[in-house]
Amino acid sequence: MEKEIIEHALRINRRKFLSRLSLGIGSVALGSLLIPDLFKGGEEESIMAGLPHFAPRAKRIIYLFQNGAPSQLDLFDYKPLLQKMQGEDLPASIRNGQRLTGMTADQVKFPLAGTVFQFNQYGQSRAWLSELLPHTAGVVDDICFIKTMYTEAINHDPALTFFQTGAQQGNRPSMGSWLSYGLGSENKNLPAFCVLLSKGKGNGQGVYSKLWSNGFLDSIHQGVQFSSGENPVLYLSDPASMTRDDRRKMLDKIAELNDDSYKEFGDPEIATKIQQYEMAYRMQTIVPEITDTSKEPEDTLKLYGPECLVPGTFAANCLLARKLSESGVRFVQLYHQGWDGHNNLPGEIKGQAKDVDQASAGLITDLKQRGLLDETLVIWGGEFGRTNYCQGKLTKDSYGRDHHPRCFTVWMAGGGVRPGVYGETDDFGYNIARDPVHVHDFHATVLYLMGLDHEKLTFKHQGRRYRLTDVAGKVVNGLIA
Amino acid sequence: MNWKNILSSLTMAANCLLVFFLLFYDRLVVPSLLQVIGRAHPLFLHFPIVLFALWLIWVWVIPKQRFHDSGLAEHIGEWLLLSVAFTAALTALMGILLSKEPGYNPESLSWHKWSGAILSLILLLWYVFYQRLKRVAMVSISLLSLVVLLIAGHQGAAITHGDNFLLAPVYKGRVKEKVPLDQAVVYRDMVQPMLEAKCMSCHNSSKAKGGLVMTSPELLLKGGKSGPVLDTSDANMSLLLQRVHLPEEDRKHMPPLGKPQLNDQELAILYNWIRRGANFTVKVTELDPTDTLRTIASNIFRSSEQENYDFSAASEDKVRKLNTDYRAVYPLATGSPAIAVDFFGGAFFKPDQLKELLAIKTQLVSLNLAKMPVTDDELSIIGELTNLRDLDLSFTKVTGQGLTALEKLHHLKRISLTNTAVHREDVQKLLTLKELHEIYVWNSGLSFAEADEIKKKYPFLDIQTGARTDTLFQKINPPVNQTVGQVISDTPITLRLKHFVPGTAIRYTLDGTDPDSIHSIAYDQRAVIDSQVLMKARAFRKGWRPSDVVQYQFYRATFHPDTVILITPTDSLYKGKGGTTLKDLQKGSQNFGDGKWIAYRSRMECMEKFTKPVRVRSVTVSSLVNVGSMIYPPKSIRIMGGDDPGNLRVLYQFAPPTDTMPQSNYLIPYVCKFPPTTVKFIKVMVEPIGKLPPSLLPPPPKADPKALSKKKEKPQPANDRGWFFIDELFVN
Repeated sequence: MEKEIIEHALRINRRKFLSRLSLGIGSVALGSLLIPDLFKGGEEESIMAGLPHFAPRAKRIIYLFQNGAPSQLDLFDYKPLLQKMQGEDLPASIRNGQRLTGMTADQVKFPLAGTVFQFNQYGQSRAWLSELLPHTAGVVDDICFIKTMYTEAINHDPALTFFQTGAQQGNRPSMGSWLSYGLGSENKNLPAFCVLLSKGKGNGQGVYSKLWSNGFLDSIHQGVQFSSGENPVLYLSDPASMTRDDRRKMLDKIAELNDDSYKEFGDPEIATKIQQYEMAYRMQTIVPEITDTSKEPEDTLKLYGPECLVPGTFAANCLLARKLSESGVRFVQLYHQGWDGHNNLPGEIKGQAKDVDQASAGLITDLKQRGLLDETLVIWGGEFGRTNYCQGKLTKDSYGRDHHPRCFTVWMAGGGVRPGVYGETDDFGYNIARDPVHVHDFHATVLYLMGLDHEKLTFKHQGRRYRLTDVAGKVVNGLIA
Repeated sequence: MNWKNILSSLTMAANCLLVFFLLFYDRLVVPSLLQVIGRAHPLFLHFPIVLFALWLIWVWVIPKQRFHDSGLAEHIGEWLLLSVAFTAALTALMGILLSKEPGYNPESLSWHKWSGAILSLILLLWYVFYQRLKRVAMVSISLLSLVVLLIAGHQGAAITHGDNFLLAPVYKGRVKEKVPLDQAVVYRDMVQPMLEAKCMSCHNSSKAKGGLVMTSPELLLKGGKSGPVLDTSDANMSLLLQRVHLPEEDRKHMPPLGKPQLNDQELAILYNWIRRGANFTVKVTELDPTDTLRTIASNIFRSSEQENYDFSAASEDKVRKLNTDYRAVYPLATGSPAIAVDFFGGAFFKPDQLKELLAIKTQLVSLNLAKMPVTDDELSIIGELTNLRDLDLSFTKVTGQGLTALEKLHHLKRISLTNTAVHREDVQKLLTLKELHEIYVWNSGLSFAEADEIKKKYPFLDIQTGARTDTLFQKINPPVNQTVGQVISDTPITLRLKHFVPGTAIRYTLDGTDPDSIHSIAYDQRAVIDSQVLMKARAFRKGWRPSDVVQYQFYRATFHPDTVILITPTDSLYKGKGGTTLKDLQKGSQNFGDGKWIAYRSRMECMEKFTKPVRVRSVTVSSLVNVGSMIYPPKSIRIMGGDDPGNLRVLYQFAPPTDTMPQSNYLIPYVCKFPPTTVKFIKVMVEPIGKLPPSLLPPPPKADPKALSKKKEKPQPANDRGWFFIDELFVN
C-alpha cells in the first residue's frame, strides 16, 4: 500500500519512466538531425583563420630544395676515416641491414670512398665545409647545419613526396599549402606559395606538380609555379586596346556569372576560380615591379653572382625569391635539379656546387643587410643523403654514390634558428651518433618557427584530421635560438 | 573469541608502539619488508577517514529512537568507534615507516606526522571514555578530532601532490615561470634545481648527511666531514665529482643506491660547471658559444621572445576595417593584443593611410613601410605610435631631419634605415632610445668607418652595415649565343649574342683567336656571318674580370648536290635519312642518336652528283668524336672529283690526328682544301679507325647468374671496331 502511495505522489512508475526515457532520447536524436552541429563539441579549427597560434619567429620561408640528393660527404660532413679506409669493404656492423636500392643491391663489394675534396673549418661555430662551397663558408655563422636528418624513403619520388607532404604516398597537401592554409599570404596581391625551378648540368631527377599541390585543401592553396624563361609570369599586361577599366568591368561580369553558377551548384572550385581571377588582376600591378631585374644595383650582382640576371638559373631564382619574399609571399620554394651523382660524382658536383654556392650565400647576406633575415627562414637541402661507399667503379679521382636515407645534412638560416652545428654522425658517415632529426621533427620545428603548433594545424578529410606531420613529429628545441 | 577485546588491545598496543617510535624516531631504521608495509599508508589511510565520517554521522545525524533495541545501537556505535581507532593506529604506524623514506620535505612531514599521531591517540582515548562523556565533551572532542584530521589530511595531500594542489587551477598567484635563456644563470637555474631534487633530501640543514649542507653556495663551498666538495684545484676534480662518478655499487657513490640517480645530462652539467671553476653568478649567455653547458642550456631553456604586453586588444571590427588590398593589419598571434602592419604596392600609398593607423596606436607594435614613398612629413605621424617595437623604413624617402620625430618611441627595439639618406648625426638622435638594440644602415649615408665607430661606443647595439662588395673583383658571366642557324648557304646568318647584365660589352673574333677588350670586334645587332668560321665571344664589364670564352662554329655550304648516293651501306643502327642526311644542312648535335647522323664501322664511300658543274675548292666533312662511346677520328679521308663517275681524280687526302683521350666528346669539322676545280661528281671515301686495341675496348659483359632466360644466347659478333659518324658534307 505504501508503495502505491509513494508512486502516486511521484506520478511515476517503471513503465512510465522507461517510456519517457525513450521519448527523450528520440527528441534529442531529432534535434541533432535538424541542427547538424548539436553534438559537435569544441571546434578544434576555431583558431582564428590565418593567424599563428603563438608569436612566430619567422614570417616567411625560402626553401632552396636541392633535388637529386646532394652528397653530404663531399660538402658538409667531413669523414677522414673514409679516406684512410679507401677501397675497403663497408663493415656489416656499420651497415646493420640497411636496405639498398636496386642499383647497388647486386654489388658484391661496397668499397668505401673518401672525398677527393679538401675540407676546412670555418667561423665561430667551427663548422666543416668542403672547398666546393667557398661562399657558404663566409656566412657560416648565420647557418645551423643539421647533420643528422634521416628518413625512411630510399628513392626519389617517395622521398620527395615525404619531404614535401609528410607521407611517402598519396596526394597530400605540400608544406607550402599547409602554410598558406594556416597563415595565408601577407600580401593579398601575391600568391602565398610560389615555386621556381632550375636545372644544373648534373644527373637530374624530375620534379612535378604533385610536390606543390594542395592535396585535399582548397585549391587556392596550390603552389604557383613561375616560368623559368625571361618572363616569369606570362601575359601580365593587358592587350594594347584594353584599359584597366575594361578589364575590371570584364572581371566583374565574369564574377557575376560564376556567382550564379556557385549558387546553383555549390562547387567550391568555382569560388576558388573567382578568387584566382581577382588575384591575377592584382598581380598585374604588383608582379612587374618584382620581376623587373633591370634596375638591380651592382652590389646585388656581386653578392649573388652575375648569373642572377640570367633567367632560369638558380642564382636568378634566388634573387627573385628574395624579391617575392620581401613583398610578402609566405613560402617560396626553389628546386635545383642535377645532384643525383650515381656516376662521376666529383665531376658533376663541382658544377652543381658552383651553381648554388654563391647565390645561397648571397641570399643570406642580402636578407641580413635588409633586416629580413630574422623573420625569414632559409632552408637548404635535399631529400636524402648519399652513401659512403662507391657505386660502380672506384678510381682515384672518380666515384659514384648511391642513395642513403640514414643520415644527411640540411642547413637552415635566419628565422629564429640557432646557428651552429646540430647533431653528429658516426665516423663512417653512415649512422647517426647523437641527436637525430626525422623529417616529421623537421616539419614540426619549421611550423613551430612560423608560430604554428603542428598538432593543431589540422584539416578533416575522409573522417580523419590530417596534419603535415601525420601522427608523429616533435619540435627540436636545440635548433631554436 | 571476544573480538572486541582483541581489537581494543591491539589498538592500545599499536598506540604504545606509535609513541615508542615517535620518541626514538631518529634511531629508526626500516628493513625492506616493513618498507613495503609503510608504502601501503596512502592506501590504508582511506579506511579510518571513511569510518570516522561514518562515526560522526552515526553520532550526530542518525536518530537513535528508530532503534527499538537500544542495545543494538550501542553495539553498532562501539564497533564503529573501535574500528576507527584501530585503523587510525595502524595507519599512523604505517605512516611512521613510510616517513623514513627519503625525498620528503621535513617541515610538512613533521606537521603531518604529529597531527596523524595525535589523531590516533585522541581516537584511542575517545574509545576508552566515550560512554562516560557528556554532550559538551562529545561536541568538543568531535570538533577537535575533525580539525586534527583536516590538518593531517591536508598536509598529507600536500606532501603527495604538492602545495596548493586543490586550488591551483583558479589560483593565479605567483606561478614559477620558466626562465628564458637570456636571463638564465648557470648555478641558479641549471645546477641548483638538480641539487634540490636529488641531493638536498639528505644534505639539508635538518639532515646534513656527512656534515654536508647544499642549500646555499656558502655552505656548499664549506663542504662536509670529508672536506670541501668543490675544490677545483684538485687533479681529481673535486670530491663531489669523484663521488658522483664512482661505480653505482660502491658504498661511497652518490646519490646512494636506491635513491634517484643523476642522468647523463645532469652529470654533464655538474662536470662542465665545476671544470670551469664552479662559478655561482655566471649567466648562460656569458658562456662561450662552443661550451657544452651552452648546448645543454639551449635544450633546457627556450629564449622567450614573447613579450607580455600590458595593453588590451583592439576590437576585431576595427582591425578588419583597417585591412585593405595594400595594407595588411593583423595581430601577432591568436589571442595576442599586439598588432603588426605591413604596407605593399608603393604606387598606392597615401599618407592618410598612416593617419588611419592612429586608431590602433596602443596596439601597434610593428610597422613595415619598406619601399613606400614615405617622406619626413609622415615621420611625425609615426612618432605618435608610441608602442612601436619594430619599425622598417628601408628604401623610403626619409632623411635624417625627420628622425627627431621618433624620439618618443621609447619601446622601439629595432629600426631599419637601409637605403635611406640618413647620416651619422641623424642616427645619433635615435641612440637615446634605451630599448633600441638593432639598427640597419646598409647603403645609407653612413660610411663603414662611422658605423664601426658607433659600434665601439655602444657595444650593446647591433648595427648592421651589410656586406662590403667594393673590394670584390669577380669574373663576369659569358654572353649567351642566341643565333638561329649554323649553316650558311645562300643568305648570311645574323649573329645574335646576348648578355643579361645591362651595360656589358661583348667582343668577338672570327679568326680563332681569343677576344680581348681592345682589338676584337665589338658586337652590335648588325653583325652577320657569311663564311665558315669559328666564332669566339667574351664579355667585358668595368670593375669585373673578363668572362670565359664561348665559341660557336659556323658552316658554309655554297654548292648543293642534287643527289647523294651511299655506295657502301651505313651501320644498321644509324641510318639517318640515307644519303639525304649529308645534304639537308641539318647539323647534328653531340647527342649522336638524334637522327641527324649516319655512322660507319667499315669503309664509307658516297657520291655527290651536281647536274650543273660547280667550281669547288673545299669539302668539309662534319664529324664528331666521343671516345667513351667508341667514336673515333677516322684513319683517313680521301676526296675525289671529276666529270665522269668512272674517272675521278684525287683532290685531297689526309689522315686526321688520332684522339683516344677518355673524356673526349666534341664535334669536329675536317676541312679539306684543294686547288679550285670544276666537277660534276664528288666522291668521299673515309676509312674508320677499325679494330681497336684491347686497352680501348670495354670489358666483356659477365654472364648474368640471375638471367631469367634459360636458353643460351647466340654469341654476339665481336664489338671491337671503332665508329665514324658524319652528319653533313659542306661543299664550297
